[in-house]
Amino acid sequence: MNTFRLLAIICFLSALAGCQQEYGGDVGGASVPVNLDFGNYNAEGARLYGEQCAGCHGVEGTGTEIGTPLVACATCSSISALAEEIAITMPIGKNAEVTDCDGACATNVSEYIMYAFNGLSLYQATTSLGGVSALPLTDTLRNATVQLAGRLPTDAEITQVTNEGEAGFSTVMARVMNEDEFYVRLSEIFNDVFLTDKYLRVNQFNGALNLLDGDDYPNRTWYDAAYPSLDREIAENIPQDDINDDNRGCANVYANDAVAREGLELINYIVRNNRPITELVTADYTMVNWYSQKVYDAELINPEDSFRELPEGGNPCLAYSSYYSDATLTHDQYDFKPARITRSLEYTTGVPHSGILTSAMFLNRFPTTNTNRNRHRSYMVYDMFLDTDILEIEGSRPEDAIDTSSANPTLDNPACYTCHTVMDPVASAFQHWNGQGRRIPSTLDASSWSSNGIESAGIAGKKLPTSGGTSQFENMLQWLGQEIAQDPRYMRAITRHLYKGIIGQDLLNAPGDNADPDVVTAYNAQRGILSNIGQAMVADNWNVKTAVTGLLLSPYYRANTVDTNKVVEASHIGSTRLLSPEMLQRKLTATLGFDWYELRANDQDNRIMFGGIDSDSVTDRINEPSGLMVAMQERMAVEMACRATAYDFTKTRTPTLNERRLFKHVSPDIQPEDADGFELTSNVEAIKKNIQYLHSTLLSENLPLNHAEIEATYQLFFSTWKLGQTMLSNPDDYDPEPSTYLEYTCRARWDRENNDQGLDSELRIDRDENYVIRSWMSVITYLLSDYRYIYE
Amino acid sequence: MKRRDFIQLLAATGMTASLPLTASKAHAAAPDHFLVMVNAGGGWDPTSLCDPKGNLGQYLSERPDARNGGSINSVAINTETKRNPVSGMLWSDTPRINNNDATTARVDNQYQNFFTAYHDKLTVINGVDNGTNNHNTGNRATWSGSLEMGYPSLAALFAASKNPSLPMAYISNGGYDFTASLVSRARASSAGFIDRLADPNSERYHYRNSDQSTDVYSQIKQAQAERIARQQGGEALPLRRQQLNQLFTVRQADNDLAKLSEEKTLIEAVVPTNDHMNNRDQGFKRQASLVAAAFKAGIAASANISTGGFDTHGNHDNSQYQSLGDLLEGVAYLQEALEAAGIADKTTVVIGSDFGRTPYYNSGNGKDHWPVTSVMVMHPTGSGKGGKVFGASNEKFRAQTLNRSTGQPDANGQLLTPAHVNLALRKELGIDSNTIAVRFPLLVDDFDIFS
Repeated sequence: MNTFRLLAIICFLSALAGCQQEYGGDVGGASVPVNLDFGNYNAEGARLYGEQCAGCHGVEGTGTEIGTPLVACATCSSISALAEEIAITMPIGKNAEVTDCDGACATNVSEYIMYAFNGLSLYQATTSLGGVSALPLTDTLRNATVQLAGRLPTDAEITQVTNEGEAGFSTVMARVMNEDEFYVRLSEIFNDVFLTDKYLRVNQFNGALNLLDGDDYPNRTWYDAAYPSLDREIAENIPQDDINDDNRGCANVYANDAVAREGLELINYIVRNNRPITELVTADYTMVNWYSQKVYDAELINPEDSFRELPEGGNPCLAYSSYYSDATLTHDQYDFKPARITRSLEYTTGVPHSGILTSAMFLNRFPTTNTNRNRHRSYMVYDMFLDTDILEIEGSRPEDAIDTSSANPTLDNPACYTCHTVMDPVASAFQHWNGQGRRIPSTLDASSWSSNGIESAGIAGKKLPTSGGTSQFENMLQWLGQEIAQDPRYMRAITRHLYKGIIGQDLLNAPGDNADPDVVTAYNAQRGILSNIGQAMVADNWNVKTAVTGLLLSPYYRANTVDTNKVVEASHIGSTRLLSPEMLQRKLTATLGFDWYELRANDQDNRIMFGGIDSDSVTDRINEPSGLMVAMQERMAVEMACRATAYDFTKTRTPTLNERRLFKHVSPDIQPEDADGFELTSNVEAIKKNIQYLHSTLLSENLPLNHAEIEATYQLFFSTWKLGQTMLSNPDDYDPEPSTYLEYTCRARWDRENNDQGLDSELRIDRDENYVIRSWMSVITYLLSDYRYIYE
Repeated sequence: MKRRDFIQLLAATGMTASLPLTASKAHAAAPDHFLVMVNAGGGWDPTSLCDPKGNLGQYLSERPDARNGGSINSVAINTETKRNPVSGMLWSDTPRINNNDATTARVDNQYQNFFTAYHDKLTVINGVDNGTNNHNTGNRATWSGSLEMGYPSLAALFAASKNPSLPMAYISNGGYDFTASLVSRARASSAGFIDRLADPNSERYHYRNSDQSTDVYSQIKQAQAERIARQQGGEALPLRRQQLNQLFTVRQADNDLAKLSEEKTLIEAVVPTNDHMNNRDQGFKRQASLVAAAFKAGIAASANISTGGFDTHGNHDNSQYQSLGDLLEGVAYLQEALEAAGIADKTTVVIGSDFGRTPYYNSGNGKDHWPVTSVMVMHPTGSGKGGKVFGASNEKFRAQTLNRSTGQPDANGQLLTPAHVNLALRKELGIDSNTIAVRFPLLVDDFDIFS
């Protein structure tokens, strides 16, 4: 990106966030025309709109069940662009009562739409967010790095943001979005859309590899031949047998998971390399690692490339299971490279790649049947890539949904046609791919596809060329991918997915014609801001990072308070959400250095109970906690406090080097009172200073030392300590007898950040003579179960 | 107003913030009634179950390409052994499945057992017009009564009406479980782990003496409760205020999770999941056992149990009948588990699906989506209800207008839709007119389905 472009985008995003920590409503910026031509009121356009458009798009342009909203619509960049779109595509359907709207009709309607729905109303809507105040940027940074990179910001990053404001924030986030952890989160966000993690080993044995046809990919289980099971009767083969067993098992897992993840890795590759996200549907390559390249016999795009290997002695298989300790494999399972499948398959030579559309994972996750005829796939394409829910069109379905009298109801019956004319051309574009995602050209297998009774391939009124030099018959999905990438709705679909991932909520539904004006205002404002963020992304060569930064700077992410006199409909503003199991694990690692073993990836049942998904039968995340989930949170707080507290005290803390995560300002001998019961002022100050630090680092709550919350937390520390003194002084009065020893699990005997390896004996902490460690354990339990910790 | 009702009202209106901390906890008394929604995911075929049509070539002329001579079913109606003479309730005979005697006999046995053992508590509702043949929309219609988005499932509405603050008020392991924020869903799969959650400090990491008179963890809990009350008071963002209210409400409720595995053990001692009938679908039975235990323990009011295998676009007979047989065996297990828990007399079970399947076989011997379907309701034991068929599809398995009182075909009647079925269920469950249900009105006329 050139410097000018970067500055322009930062400038735009800054305007979006507001300079006064209040959303200013300025929707200008370099990537968005500052002086949009909203035109003038066009009476003829208004008449035509009411006659031909309002039925679907709503009187106020806010959309209906069967028509997309026109407020901040993707082609509403100028009257001429909108008129062109209208002339080509509108009105949809074969309703004989409505003639095509092109020429003067398109221009008049376009001018009316720009004036009525994109000028005044958008301006009013976006300025209405003036009542939203934003979190300080440093707090926003903290939240963003925890959420997206699984770590707290460094002091240098905080300083940069403090000194440089939004520009510094954008610069820091650009670096953060190059870190590996960001791509873990990005994969989660898009897996919530594509759900292809269903095929990971953790969910199914060989879930991905079994979807590939053995005739197409004879080496799909290459590891069986490469690392055969040897005859254990022969003594000298035993070590090699163990090695082969582990290599075979490990390569199997990594090959399967790489195939399962090829779509999500494509997104990671695109974003990591600042490539346009349009490649998600257009890329003429797929992604493989060393293990899956062998499955496909794929050719790397750059034949000079080689896959990364771990340093000498590194065993990549231990990341999956400690059982694979004998494995001798060296290749990094996380290193994916672009490649193409060019080998002869049973029915064709190679795969005409078109991003995720031609991935067998995508095609199997959204399969079809001979009678469904790819319509489910079409539905998903519209939903995922074109921000259109075809099912919404069902609202106008007649009472009797059964038509057994028409030869082809989907072509002949207007009640069916309205929906199918949108859906079926895209469905036809999948005709060369069977229900199992295998490429079988429709001309080769009459039983797999018939063109009878379904519209030919196309999209948005445009037919796929099937003859002559421009024929795209062989490459239908490649053509479709290019069309999708050029469709104005693609931008909105991508920003919608990112909004859900970053903000944690679905976008507001289009309000009905009789909706409360405040609801309409809220909807218009959100749509306007999202449109600007999307356009900033497009202007930056479809760079997803630009959209992410825009979302992080938007009032929806940063909102801290809302003046409900100014913003009446405000229930959607703010990005606080209940942490998913994955997000909680990342936050624990960021703040404590290690995660909760009950929620690790191999314990899918617990993750689901905690509101997670398995991408198969459970695909909907829970964002309102049940008593069961609250109980899990409380259990987590107790167990993690137990493991983290004494352990943190084993870390170095000197005037020159402080490696503590939690107790930077205290040691275990800092007690609040002396032996005679007099307060030790400096000790109390140190304790409170540490509590202040904990509120900041764990809860992102920056409080002055004399704040009531600091005092409340101190009182918990103090009351636990006091009780401890009483119990240790009179142990006989209690059953069981209190001990100066910590509970065994809570002792510092294991390196929690290194797979619980034993700590050196001189570092270990077994005892808590003065009850200080256990008092801190109370505090940590209290903070880890706090709303501000379990929500983010 | 009773305290429980008061809390429900507050929860529904987001006003729990005003509950004083000193008040005793919301007492999670066991609900007086429970509801299970059993979902046959993928779209079942009622003509292969409770609305058989036989092999009469009904579509021979309309669908000349259809397999099985255009017949709706591949087996004839059997009025000898597949019909209750009193109610006239009819169920499908069993075609030969997978060309295998044992499999065919097993499925036949599953059907016979279900319809003979539970006939007296079963209302079969036939000829329901779901108005869609899309999975998502059909699911939504069947379980909420509305084709449009935004309506909570019947089970969510029920749990919210009974006591939304129960720790697992609405158990859902899939199926349509939209709640409209009325109640939280709990996904429950591991009873052993749930047992450990009953007391977060069960390992005594924080000191607690044997009579619990000294308990460090209780100090933490107290501090936690005071903190959340302060947060509620000081929060300026509506979104966060609502989240705090939810968290506060759920934390206020009694946590009787320990009882769950205790009850589950008792139930499974009587009806082991792995030693029941043909030992089919262990996943369903484990869900059923856990649900019955959660009801008995007083920590849940309603549940979704969802199972799949019904989207039989190919080889219908070989797959659909087995899936239906396993479904019936699973529901039989659920009934036995409820009996063992002593709550079968307080539990209503509704069994339904996305929609029906075509009344003709496609070229792959499968059946595709069809909007006409059925719903089966199992009433509480001893309620005196059941042994009844209401409504009817016509001979070609299409919806027809029905008399609203008798359920019989009536040219002056109305089409029976999921809205009517849900309205009748709401009334049957006694939740039709409460303040929560009226926010999601079903604006249709009554059908006297359960009278």
